[in-house]
Amino acid sequence: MPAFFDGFYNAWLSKSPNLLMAPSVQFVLLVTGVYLLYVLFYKSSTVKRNLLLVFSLYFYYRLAGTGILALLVIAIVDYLSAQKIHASPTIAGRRFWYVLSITVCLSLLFISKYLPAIPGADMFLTVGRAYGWVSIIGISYYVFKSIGYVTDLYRGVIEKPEENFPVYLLYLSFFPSIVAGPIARAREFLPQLHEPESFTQAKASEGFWLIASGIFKKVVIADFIAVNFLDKVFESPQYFSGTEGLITLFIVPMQVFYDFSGYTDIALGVALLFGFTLKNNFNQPFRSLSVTDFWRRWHITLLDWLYDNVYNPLTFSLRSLRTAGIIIGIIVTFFLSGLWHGASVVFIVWGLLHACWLILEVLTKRLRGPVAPGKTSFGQKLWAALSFLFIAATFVLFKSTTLDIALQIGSKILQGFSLNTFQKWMTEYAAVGIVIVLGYVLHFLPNAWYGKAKNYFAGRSWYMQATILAVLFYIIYQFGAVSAKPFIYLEF
Amino acid sequence: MKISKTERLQERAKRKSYFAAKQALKTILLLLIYLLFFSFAGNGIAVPGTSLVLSFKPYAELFTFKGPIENTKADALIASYLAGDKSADGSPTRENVFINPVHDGVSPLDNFFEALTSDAPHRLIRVAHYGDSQLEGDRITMQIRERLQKAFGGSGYGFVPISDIATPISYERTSTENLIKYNVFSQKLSAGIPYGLSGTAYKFVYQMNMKEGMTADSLRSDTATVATTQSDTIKRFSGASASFRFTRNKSFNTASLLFGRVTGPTEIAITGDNGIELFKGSLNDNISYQENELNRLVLPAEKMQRNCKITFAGDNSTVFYGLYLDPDKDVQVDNYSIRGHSGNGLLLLNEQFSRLQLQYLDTKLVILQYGGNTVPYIDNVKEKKYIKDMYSSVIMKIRKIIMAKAYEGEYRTYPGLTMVRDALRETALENGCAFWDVFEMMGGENSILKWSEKGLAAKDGHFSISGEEVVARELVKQIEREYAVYKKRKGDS
Repeated sequence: MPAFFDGFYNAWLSKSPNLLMAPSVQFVLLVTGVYLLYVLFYKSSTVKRNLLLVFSLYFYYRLAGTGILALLVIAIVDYLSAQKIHASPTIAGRRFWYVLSITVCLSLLFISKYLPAIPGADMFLTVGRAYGWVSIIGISYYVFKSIGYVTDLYRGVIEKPEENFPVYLLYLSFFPSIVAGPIARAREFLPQLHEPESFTQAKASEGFWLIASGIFKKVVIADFIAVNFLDKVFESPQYFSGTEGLITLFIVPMQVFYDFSGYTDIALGVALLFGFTLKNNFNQPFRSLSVTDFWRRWHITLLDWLYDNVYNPLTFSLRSLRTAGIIIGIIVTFFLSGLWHGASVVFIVWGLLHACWLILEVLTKRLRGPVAPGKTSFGQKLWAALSFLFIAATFVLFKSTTLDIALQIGSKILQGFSLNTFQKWMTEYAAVGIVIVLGYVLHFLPNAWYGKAKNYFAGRSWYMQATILAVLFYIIYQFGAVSAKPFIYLEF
Repeated sequence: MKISKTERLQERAKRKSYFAAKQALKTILLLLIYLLFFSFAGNGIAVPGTSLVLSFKPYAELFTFKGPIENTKADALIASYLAGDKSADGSPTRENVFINPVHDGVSPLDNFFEALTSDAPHRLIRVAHYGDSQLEGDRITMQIRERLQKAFGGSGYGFVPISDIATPISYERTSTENLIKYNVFSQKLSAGIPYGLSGTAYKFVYQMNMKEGMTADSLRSDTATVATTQSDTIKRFSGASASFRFTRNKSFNTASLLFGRVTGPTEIAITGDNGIELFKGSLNDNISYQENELNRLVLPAEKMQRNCKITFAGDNSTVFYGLYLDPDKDVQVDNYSIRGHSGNGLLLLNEQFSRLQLQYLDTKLVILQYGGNTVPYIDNVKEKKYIKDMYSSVIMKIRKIIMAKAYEGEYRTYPGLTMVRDALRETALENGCAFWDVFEMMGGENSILKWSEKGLAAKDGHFSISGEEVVARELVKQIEREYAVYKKRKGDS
């Protein structure tokens, strides 16, 4: 019997970051079980909400172990602070509770994410690792959600604080988005937890469609490219040629995009099945005409947060400095964006490089002229191509674990291109080449086509949808790597 | 009891929502039934007319939810390996990792050990290290070479391909794109032209069809003089070259270029620093080169120690079999790697021609390090038998060529790995070879994840530089251990 309990504990209760590996049958079964109860208790919104909350906490506990304590502390402190901010009659009082809330959030984020990177923190690392407080999964996301909520309340963007603690806790811990976003704004998501039922057949179909799309992006494109080529280059760049370095430059952006976008689609799809709408993080980012445009299309919810809470207030307070104020705003915002991704020189350099290019775009905005839809000049197209190359190069940096690896790949790229090596590469990596081309083609297809495909799917009966999904999953499985890879953005 | 309009609307919304959720639940449940159904497909569904087999997770695997992957054995082994040579604690025992069975007083490695203890003066003993991408660019082999040479003497770089997709780590090489590497696996030679012992051969071409991505063979001499120009589809070259830079201070006493029969004028020039000519010769000046199937051109090794560029010119490329940069005596290890190869291409080696090479190369130990490109496709007993038959044929082939007794094998982690490992071990032992079990050496099942965590390997199974050091150190340690056993055995008898 003890062996049975051990087995049960290991399978269903132990900390298991693998739970989210796509496609995890255990995850599917768990969600199905919860969904069954969710449908059975359709009459009571409270029961459904609490069911979702319990499952979200269980789900997060499985992923983060005792790291869940950080989530609970943040939820309690921010919930209470929000009440106090609202009730406080004086500005000083409001500010006190606001600063307290922000301090607690940032302190926990710092302890989990940045303290381990500080030299001499060995003692903390030993203790922290033993208790699971180092690199708590998802903390960057729910800390930002919480700070955003308290800030909106402090500024009066949200008029009343959330009075129901379980609802607030569910906002922070909502399982489809807790580990890697999207970072839902409180003012957009909290009302959904209160509003009358809005779940429809169309939403369900869209949810299934998004889940299938996400798994396809993740397994067929992102993982396939990573396992069969990209990981090898980043593991040992010294063994690859200049041509392979150049190929890497064009593959990396797509791999990171399909990995993160695949995760986001799954999160959006699962949320939709439970009747909730989350904001998409992507809008065909590599169709951007500039890096500024790229940041309107890539990781949109993070940039929304940074815009709301860093860039906008900062540039507003520095408005007297005019362009200099904007430049300072960009530098600070993208420095923080880099730091948010990790306590590593690589991410900070990555953030600052983007800041430099954005500043260049601010300074050359008049020179490049206004962009009208469908009427881009040759110069603007050239700028778009240069911007893409810049974005691709910085993605090489983004995906490198150290600056040294990025520099090695960079030096390989500078060695130049050899058609002979390219032909050999095409022979040996034909499947990777095909998948990359597929990735580019899918990315640049008109959005309307996706809409038509989605509508066709939504128009089928439930058993036809299940059959289509089953065939699709079966085909996707054939492309699957032997062991699924973790989503890149779970690391942040 | 009366209900308000709002309550009625809410109730209707709830019902609508319930209906939609129920439909969604039905979809999910039917989907799960489909997934279960796929699991009963056993060995999968073969696609007619192709070698493709579509399969899904087996039923048992579908519902096996493991907790976090723990492998304390791998943890202990990695700690032991990272502690360096000094610590032997936790090292795997020779019984389950390195199998070198003694039958009638003779072990598979005796051939190599006898050569090491031979009194013959100026004898260079070679080790051929065959493998796939785990080795390409001299990876792992360089580590083994340095360790064996440290233990038994020797220097140089061994076999040096004059062109390859992989960038070497023990020296620098730049080849012109028209110097083509052919191999027994992915880019084959025309029928009838033999491969070198390495499983590769090299030719230069004067024209490449850029549009179609194909290489055309040499042209007539009237086009051969055309300088490098680019047209829409054809790119022409005036010659081919391979430049080398040797920085590891591994001096060599002999430099040999092996090549096949010369059928037309072929000029070879070697230049050193600042373009200083070190050697210039015409292969067709030597009548024997036009008669022999295999030839050896001895190059000025003493002048090639740091930088050299070998330039080829001629109407019709001779087939080259690579450079060998060696010491006069002691031990040399040759890296014979082909990316993606699983070993079966070696069956294409021409026995007679390979034996001709052995006149120059006294190979006494052959290490076959394969499995990584086989494992992903193996998951049943039938396929295990196929693997056994395949490697048995490869061993017989090598044995016929070298008439030696040494052989080993190696693999990396995958679900079907143990089956392939067992097949290879059985095949090796049934054929009187030694066997090195890297899977066990790493710590067994899922140890690749632990190796990856410690930065010793990538998750796909390729070793990192630190991992290569560990693998090479452990292999040489096992060989040395066996050598001590051999000496004791010989001393006792």
